[in-house]
Amino acid sequence: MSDERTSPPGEYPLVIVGSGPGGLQLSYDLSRLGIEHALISKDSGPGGMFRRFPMFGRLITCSRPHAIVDCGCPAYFRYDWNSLVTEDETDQALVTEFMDGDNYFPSRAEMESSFAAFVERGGVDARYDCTWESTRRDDDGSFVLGTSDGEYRAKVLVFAVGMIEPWRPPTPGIEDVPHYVDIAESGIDYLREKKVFIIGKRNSAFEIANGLLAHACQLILGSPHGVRPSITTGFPTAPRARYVQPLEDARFGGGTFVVDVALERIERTSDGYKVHADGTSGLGKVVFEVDEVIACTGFATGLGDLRDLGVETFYKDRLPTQTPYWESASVPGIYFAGSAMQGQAGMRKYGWPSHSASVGGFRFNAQVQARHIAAEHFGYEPARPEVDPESAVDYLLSQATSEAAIWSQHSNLARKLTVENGAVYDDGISVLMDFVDSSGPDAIAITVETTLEGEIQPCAYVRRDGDVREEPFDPAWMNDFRTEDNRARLGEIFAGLGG
Amino acid sequence: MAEGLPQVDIDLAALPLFSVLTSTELDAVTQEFDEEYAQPGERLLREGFVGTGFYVVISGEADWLVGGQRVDRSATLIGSPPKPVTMRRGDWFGELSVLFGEPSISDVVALTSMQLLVMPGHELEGFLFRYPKVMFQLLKGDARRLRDPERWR
Repeated sequence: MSDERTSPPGEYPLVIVGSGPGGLQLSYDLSRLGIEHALISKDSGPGGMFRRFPMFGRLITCSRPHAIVDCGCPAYFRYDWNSLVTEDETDQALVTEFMDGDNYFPSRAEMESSFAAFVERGGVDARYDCTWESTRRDDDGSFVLGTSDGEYRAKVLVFAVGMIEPWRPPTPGIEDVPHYVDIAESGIDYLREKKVFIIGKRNSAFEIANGLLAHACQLILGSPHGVRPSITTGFPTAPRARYVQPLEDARFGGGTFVVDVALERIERTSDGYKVHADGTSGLGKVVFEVDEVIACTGFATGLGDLRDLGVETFYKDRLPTQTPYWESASVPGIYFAGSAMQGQAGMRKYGWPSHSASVGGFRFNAQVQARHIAAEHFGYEPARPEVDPESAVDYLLSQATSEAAIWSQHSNLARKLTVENGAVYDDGISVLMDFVDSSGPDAIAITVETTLEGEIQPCAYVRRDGDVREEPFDPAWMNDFRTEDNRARLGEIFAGLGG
Repeated sequence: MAEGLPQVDIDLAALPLFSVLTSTELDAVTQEFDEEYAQPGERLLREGFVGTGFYVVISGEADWLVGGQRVDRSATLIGSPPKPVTMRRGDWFGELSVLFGEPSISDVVALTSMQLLVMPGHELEGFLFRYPKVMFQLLKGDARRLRDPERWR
């Protein structure tokens, strides 16, 4: 029987590994630029991690079914953190289309349905059940991927393999403790009526705790660092609002404890575990006797044998080092898409991290990355629509007010206009850290930023005569930055460019 | 195995800033910071920009520039030969801009691949009050830079 799957082994200009949202979005965007490529996946269908996670069925990020703008228009994606982005409305597979209307957090199954529709409507071809097994480099510089179906050769590789490999700190005894990922496989029935110690206080820990409130008789969440919920910090710190119920339960004395402890060791006993710890806020040493322990200690990128090829990592070997365009900093030609993009931390203005760990951020990275790869490796010349200088200021303020890529990637992505020979060109959504650290003609890149006071404000980065300076603007009612004051000030700045 | 970025043991206890902490405190302090990578040429601190962070160098080296020129800390010492500042493992930067709430007066640019700990600027004050021993180490380090700019490392 012949194999009718697409993209058989062979030579391609580019190969993407992984059919999660990162791989699907990049494949879509590359295809729109005319870049031939193969997309391979070990899974039997699209969705990546969303085929298994989140464990308790609903995401932490929202998709608002009814927004202030029409569903599906470019500005709508600001209110929908989970849908993949298309340039043609006929390709759209908005997550809200598949939601049942009872919740503004989509379910795992709804996400998976949306990705399947995206593949079908957007014409994203993937070769499923094809497992990447090895990587090497030939003398001519081409990469060779060994897979379960045979060898693929390409000048450029993109790994969109997720960040879902379990990671544990070197605490003695933790190796015998199930990880979050294991619980996703085993289910939680065995935790019913048990005393459970959850190691960690990030979102995965609070997700488990939230899910166990109705199952376990006692929950203890422990890690060295205190909790800083996003609703009090004003930043996307853990736990997010979706999972704060265990925190309230702890504050009200309801059987949940959230403790600041450094774990010394975990001891297996005949009927459970002893967790030996030392309080980091001065309460001294303690031993927690519990029935079960779960390690919610984080995840690592599934890099396979890429380290042997020279791919450097950091963050305790969990993330690859990357350039501003998410290319391996040590092996040119290897790129990363999807959640591994968080290895490029961005500008960190006012402490805001990039939003590249989740679909809402990396879907826009993919569009920028596709243009970069196409230009760097395949001779693609990006379109540079000319902008009427008279309307440039209004255009920039409109972008700051409503452009979803900017709102999804505060301080990291920006709309860039370049002034050359008296003309103004739209250079599209750009990587802000690359703009501020490169030379070039006079230009403005506008983004939005959240200040320490929690105010959201536009900020223009202005390059004039080779120097880049920042020009923050005042916040505005309802985040509509198209005010007369802003027009006047930005107009003044803009008038000084290209002279 | 290909030669790659060395996997540095972060071992905060070996860094002067944190050497005064107990192992339990070190566990907690580790989680106060994010880890960050920088490639050669990348700017970590940008002159004139606000909203910056506090950095501790784990590995690699960085230049300190003001007005695009490498800082010559000994320029004020009459008769001393110029000796530009290079930041290395254990050094820190960014705290002055954060504590003054003012734009950075310098660029810090990675000379090599670097691994760093970074803390959002607005968290530094609270962190220092939670760990006064670290605040004292930071004070001593910054005072040493003032007292002896030629040998501030």
